[in-house]
This record gives sequence, C-alpha cells and structure tokens, in this order.
Amino acid sequence: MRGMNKFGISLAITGLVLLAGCKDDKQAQTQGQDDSAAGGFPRGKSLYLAGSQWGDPSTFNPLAESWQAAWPVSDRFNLMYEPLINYNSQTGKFEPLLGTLVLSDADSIVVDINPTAKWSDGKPVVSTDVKFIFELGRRFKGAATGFAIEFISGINVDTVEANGAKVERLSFLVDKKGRNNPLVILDLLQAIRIVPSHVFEALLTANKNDLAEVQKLKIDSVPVVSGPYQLDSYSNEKIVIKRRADYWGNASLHQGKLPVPLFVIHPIYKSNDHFAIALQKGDIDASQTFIPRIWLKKKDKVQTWMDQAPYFVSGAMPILLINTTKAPLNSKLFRRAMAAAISYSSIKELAVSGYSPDIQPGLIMASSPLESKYFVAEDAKARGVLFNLDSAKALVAAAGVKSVFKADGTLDYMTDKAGKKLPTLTIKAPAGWSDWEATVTIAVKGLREAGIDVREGFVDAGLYWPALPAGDFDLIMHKPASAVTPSLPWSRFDAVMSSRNWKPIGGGSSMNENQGRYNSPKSKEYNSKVDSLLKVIPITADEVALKAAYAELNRIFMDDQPAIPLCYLPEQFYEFSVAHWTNWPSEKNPYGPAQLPMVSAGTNSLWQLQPVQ
Amino acid sequence: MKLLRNLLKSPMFVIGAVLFFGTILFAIFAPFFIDLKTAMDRVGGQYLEPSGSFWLGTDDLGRDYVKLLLQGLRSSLYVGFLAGVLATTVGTLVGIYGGFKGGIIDDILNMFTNLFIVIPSFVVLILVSASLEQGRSLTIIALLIGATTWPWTARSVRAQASSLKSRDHISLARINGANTLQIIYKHILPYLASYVFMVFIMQVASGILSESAISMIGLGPMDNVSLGVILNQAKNAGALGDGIWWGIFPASIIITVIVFALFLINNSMEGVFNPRLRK
Repeated sequence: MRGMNKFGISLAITGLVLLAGCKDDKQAQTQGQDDSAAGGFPRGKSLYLAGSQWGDPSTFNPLAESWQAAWPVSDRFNLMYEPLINYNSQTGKFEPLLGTLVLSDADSIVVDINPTAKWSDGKPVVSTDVKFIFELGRRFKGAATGFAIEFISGINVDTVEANGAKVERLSFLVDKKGRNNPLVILDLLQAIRIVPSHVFEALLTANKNDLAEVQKLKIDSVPVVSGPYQLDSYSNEKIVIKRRADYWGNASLHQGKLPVPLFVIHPIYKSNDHFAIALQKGDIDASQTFIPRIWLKKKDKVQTWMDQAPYFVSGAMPILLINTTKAPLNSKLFRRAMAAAISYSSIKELAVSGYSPDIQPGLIMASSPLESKYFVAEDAKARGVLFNLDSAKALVAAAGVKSVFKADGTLDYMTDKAGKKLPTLTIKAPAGWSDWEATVTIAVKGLREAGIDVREGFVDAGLYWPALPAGDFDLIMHKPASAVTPSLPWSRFDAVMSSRNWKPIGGGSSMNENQGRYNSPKSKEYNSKVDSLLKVIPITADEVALKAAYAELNRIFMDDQPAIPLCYLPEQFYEFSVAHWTNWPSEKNPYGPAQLPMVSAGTNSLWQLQPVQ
Repeated sequence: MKLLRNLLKSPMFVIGAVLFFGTILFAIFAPFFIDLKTAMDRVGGQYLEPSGSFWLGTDDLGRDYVKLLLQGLRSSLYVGFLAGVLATTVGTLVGIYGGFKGGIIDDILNMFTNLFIVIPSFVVLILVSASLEQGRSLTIIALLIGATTWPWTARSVRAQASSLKSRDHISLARINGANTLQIIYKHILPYLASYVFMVFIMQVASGILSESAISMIGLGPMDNVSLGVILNQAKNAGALGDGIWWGIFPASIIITVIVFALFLINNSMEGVFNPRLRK
C-alpha cells in the first residue's frame, strides 16, 4: 500500500509539473498574439460577446463549412461578412444590407445591390460577388453553399435606375422543376454571407481551381470583408475583431455614425457555467447560453428581453423526435400515449426555468407573433394530446402494449400483443446540456409512470450528432429549424415530416430532415397529403389558403404524432449585462430584435449601445 | 479478539469505524423511516431552501434532497462495495497465484498486471462508460471500476505472497503432499488476510471516489441516483453560481466522510498489523 501511495504522489507531482508547463506555453502564445492587437482592450471601448465559440478557432475561411469556421465568420453573424438582406425576427420584415429586397413572388426574388456597398479593399460589392457564392455549388461539389442551386435555377442581372443612381438588380429565379420553393430562397438571401469574388477567384486560380485546397486556407490575415469589423487577433482564449472606420454602411445605413464599441471580443469558455459566471461578474456583456434562474442574476446587472417570465422571445421548439420505424414506436397510438405522459408544465417550470410560455399541441408555435396566425385553437383542442396520465395509460393499452409493474409499483418492462418482452427504449440527448438533460429526466419519469419503459440516454456530443441523421435512436432530443427565418413554420414542418429524401435506417444512410423516418413513401400507410402540403405552402401567396394548408398539416401532425414538442424557447438566449454597456434592445426599449448585437438584424444595436461612464 | 482490542486502542480506528459503520447503519435502516419510493417524485419548487418541510431543501427538479441523498448514499456504497469486492478478489487471486507459483506463470500474470497498470484506468472508465449508450447501470459502473482497479491489489499481494512462499511452513506443507490450491488457501491466505482486508478497504474508497468522479462528468448510472449524479445535476443546473450550497455541500460532505473514515480505518489497521509500525 505504501508503494501505491508513493507511486500516486510521484504521479501527481509529475502531472502538476506538466500542467504548469502547459499553462506557461498557452499564456505565452496568447500574450504574443494579444500584444499585437494595438495595445490592449480598454473596457469602455470593448464589447464582450459570448456563447458562439466553444472550441479553439480553426479557420476564418467563409468558404469552409459553417461548423468549421470560427466566430464571427460562421452562422448568421454580420460583423465581418454580410448577407444581401436581414430578416428582423421581431417585425418579420426584411431590412436592407448589401442589397434591398424589391420583390418576392412564386417565380423570383428580386434584390437591388446597394450601390454604396464596398469591400474593405475599396472595391464595390457587385453582382459577380453574389453570383460567385450562390452558384459555387454549380462549379464545385463540396461547396458549403451548394444546396442553394437546388432552389435557384439562375440569377439574372440587370442594371436599373433607383433613386437617381444606377444599381445592379438581381433576380433569383425559383427553380420550378427543382424544389420550387421561394420561401427557402428568402432564407438563403438572409443566411448566405457574400464573399469578395475577386479575392476567392484569385485563390482558386492559385490553387488550380481546387476548392478543397482553398477551403483549407485560414483566411486570418487581414481578410477582405464588407462588414463593420475586421479580424484583429485570436488565440485559444479569445477572438478579437476591431471596428472599421471606413465601413460603407456607417454612411449608407447609420446616418454617418460609427458602431460604438471599438473592439468586439468573444472569450472562449468550455461550459455554460463559465459563461454564466463571467456574465454575472461583468467580464462579458452579452451571452447566448442557457443560464438557469435568470431572475437571480438581476442583482448582478444581468438582464433579458423581458423583466419577468418567460424572459425571452420564443422562436425555437425543442422536440422529442421518434424513430417511427421501430416497434412499438411505429404505432401512432403509442406515440400519442407518450405525448400524454409528459408533464409540460414541469418541463417549463423546472427544466427551462420558466422561459417557455404554455405549450400548445402541434408544430405551430402558438405564442409566436409570427406564427400564431396559423394556429387553430379548435383543432388543437380536438386533436391534440395534453398531459394526462390516465389517458396515456389508456392509449398504451389501446396500442396493444402491456406494462408489467414490479411489486413496489415501479415499472418493470413492456410486452407486445403476443406477450413478447419489448426492449427498454432510450431517449438520446447530449450529456451536459443541462436544460435538455432535465427535460429528458422529467419526460422519462412521466413516461415510466404511464407504463412506458424508457430510460435516459445521455451520450457524448460526438455520439449524439451522427446518431441524428443516421436514425440511430429510439427517441432523440432535437431542435428543428432552430433559427427564426422567413420560412417558419414551414421549415419546422419540413424538418420533422418531409419524406422527400426518405431513406431506410442502416447501411450508412443519412437524412437531414425527418430523421425519425416518418411516413415512408413505400409503406401502405403513406400519406401523400403531407408531402403535397409541404410543396404547396411555399408557393401559396393567398393568406386564407395558406392558413388552411398549415391547419391541415398541423392536424396530421397531431394525429400521427411523429414527434413530441416539449416547450418553446428563444432562438438564442439573449442575456446581457448593464455593468459596462447600456441601451440594449428590450421589451421596454424595442428598437431592435431580441438578438445579440452580432446576429442578423440584431447587429444594428452596435450603433445604439452606450458605454457606462 | 486481541486484534480487535488492539484496534480499539487506536483513536483513529474508533473515529473511522464510528463514522463508517454509522453511515452504513444509516443507509440500511433510514429507509424504514424515510420513504425512498418517492425519492424521485417532485415535492416542491426548484431549489427550495432547507426548511422544516425539507431539511436539506429540494433539487433542480423539485425533489427532496434528504431522500435523494439517502438514495445516493446507498447507491454509492453499493458501487464501492461491489467494485471493492471485484478488484480485491481478482487482484488477490492473480497476485497470490503468481507470487506463489513463480516462474513463467508469474511472469505472464505480472506482465498482464503491469499492462493494466500502465493503461490509464480512469480514461478507460470514461471511454467505456461513454460508449455504453444503454444500460449504464450502477452494477455496470461498479464492475467497470472493479475491472480497472484490480492490478494495484494484484501487485501488492504478489509481493507479499512471493516473500511467503520460501517460509518453512510452506515447505513442510509441500512435503506433506498439499497441492498449490491447498497451500494458498490454508497456509498463505491466512497470513495475508489482514493485508487483503486493508486493500479491500482502500478499493471500496477508490470505488466510491471513481463512481463520484465519473458521475460528476455526466457518465454515471442512468437507472439510479448516486452521490456523484447529485453533484453532476447540481453543477449542470448552475447551483454553485447561484449560491445554492445545499445542492453541492451535503453530497460532497457525505463522500468526504465515507472516504475519510475508510482511510482512517486503513491507516490504523496498518499501524496494528505491521510489526514495524506497531508501537
């Protein structure tokens, strides 16, 4: 035993020495890069945003896949690269940026390029830049924006006069023979960031027209950007971007004003706890991470969009996605039984700290101002399933499943109609996602009380993400169409119910939508109405017809229950600290949407924030 | 009895034994007074402060911490004992057999033991635990811990068995026709019993700590609550940041008390059993 102790002590000492060594290296590396950044970051001129970069920044290449590129090149951030138009999730309207939306109908979407828009090297933003990124998929198979060509058959360019100036007018033609979906084109116009074609064409030429080689470039040394900030420095601890005094939009869109923060800095932390503590200490100014019990943080000057519950504006709908190919989950009665066994009020109150309004049956977010017009309360009452354990037990029995309980009253197992024991079902969710873990725990408790043999299956994120498209799950936590885009709620229905690319589970097959394999086109029960409604909605302009189509789709969803909506959450947790910066958009000061000042239309608040003196 | 009297003279042993057996008795008999069937039921709001109704408050899911901690204590002790029994049994068998037989068998077993020692057991524990998507139960976790910690026992026991095999009474037993198993069972094991018991105590402590650590990082049992699971849930739910001490401290204190008690017992036993340390 003494030998063990000595060995343990020497091992610990060696470990500490190694750790100390590693720390020194890291600090040196970071310091070296920060020192190059114009002599530090004065707090009154630096805005610290967080929650969008969790790992070491690997590339700032806008042609890389979104999940590869570091903040603020990835996702819908407008700080370095910009889209043609912004979608304001508060008003549901489009706002001009590199372009202005002129027309949107079933045939084409027309956008005028802003004639004042310029790249940081002084060249104007032109139609060639737009065509380059939108049509990259026609030239290269591995283009991150390649999916755009599924929707756009071509981009016509005209020159027109607008406000006394000549502007380039782009007509994005809806691919009628392809996906025939102008809604998704609108999504793309506010999601795809335009890149300087003159820079990337030169890089492609230098790399023998090999896109894969160009995608490997980091593009981290004074990149040519159109946005209000430029990459300043980065390390594995933070990314720093610096204000561009010559940003074209200052004059064109912001009455000649500069964005107020000189630096925008994204510290890199590894967990929600770190972000929460940093926000409370005033080390960061805004974060989009889940922070429980936000009302307790008010004393530390942490605020949200609303002063009271639900604190945030709903936009996303976490669901339990069901593998509908596996018994007994292939029974709609059984799926409805599950939906009746989950206490949604407990999820709302305990798992998500009251951040969700009361949930309604169906896939339409009843509480959202942008979606509520499609919600039919009578249908939800007649067809929807609400929490009711007795009803859940009755539905389990009606599905032909028998629950066997132990002597102490707890569930032992389930059997099918033939008396064969059914395997325990598992709800897969990423370990450490605290709100999802708590949600699953609450769901499992209710399901087991109703006689449904389910257990929590918290797995490493590395196992969770591949399982979703592969259909490698019984039930899985999922947040379909999580961003508020012009195509909602269609995109949520499509993500859950579309059989367009239906593939059976196994053999390496993968589905990016309807991962639960609902409504197989080859099955006898195939309901073609679902896919036809999903096709019709994007090209329906008449509001009455649109409402009828959504209502019908929602009725089918409630009847078939291919997934179980659990609560309504914001598209991003918009939390900010007023310790160093004030005048954040809020319910009482709604000059902008409930988004961090880096996302889409939320970026505009960078011109309105005020430093605390 | 003489041994016990000697042990009882050690204040360290008395304190350790009182703490440990007190905890065991509490874990066994408290469920007669506290209904554990409702341990997972919601009884109130999220993180209610300790009060007359809920002595140690409630957790993030509104469950009574007293019941959860009792359930967690029982689970952690179960894992500790099962892992301890497995690690001690396997380690002792491998160590004694190899140490007594010597030669090529000892070389092979020793190589096998050393191989397991150099594999970072906690990393193996994490990897195996993470890959078990289904059925990550208390028993599986305990077996995993036991299966990765036995080499230390084997190595220590082998050294002791190796020194015993050249003793006179072993030679006499061999002359009298005793086979290997008889010699091990009748003439070596009794000499090592106290040592093996001390190893077992440390393995139980190690099992409880390993389970807590692995649960703390979210890879604990899915079918039950343990002290590590309680800490993990409190950490994930941001209890520490909000000053919710009752989410962290009680479970931490219980783990500390159990492991501290086992260390006290082990140290005091070493003082009594080891002639060089005996006062």
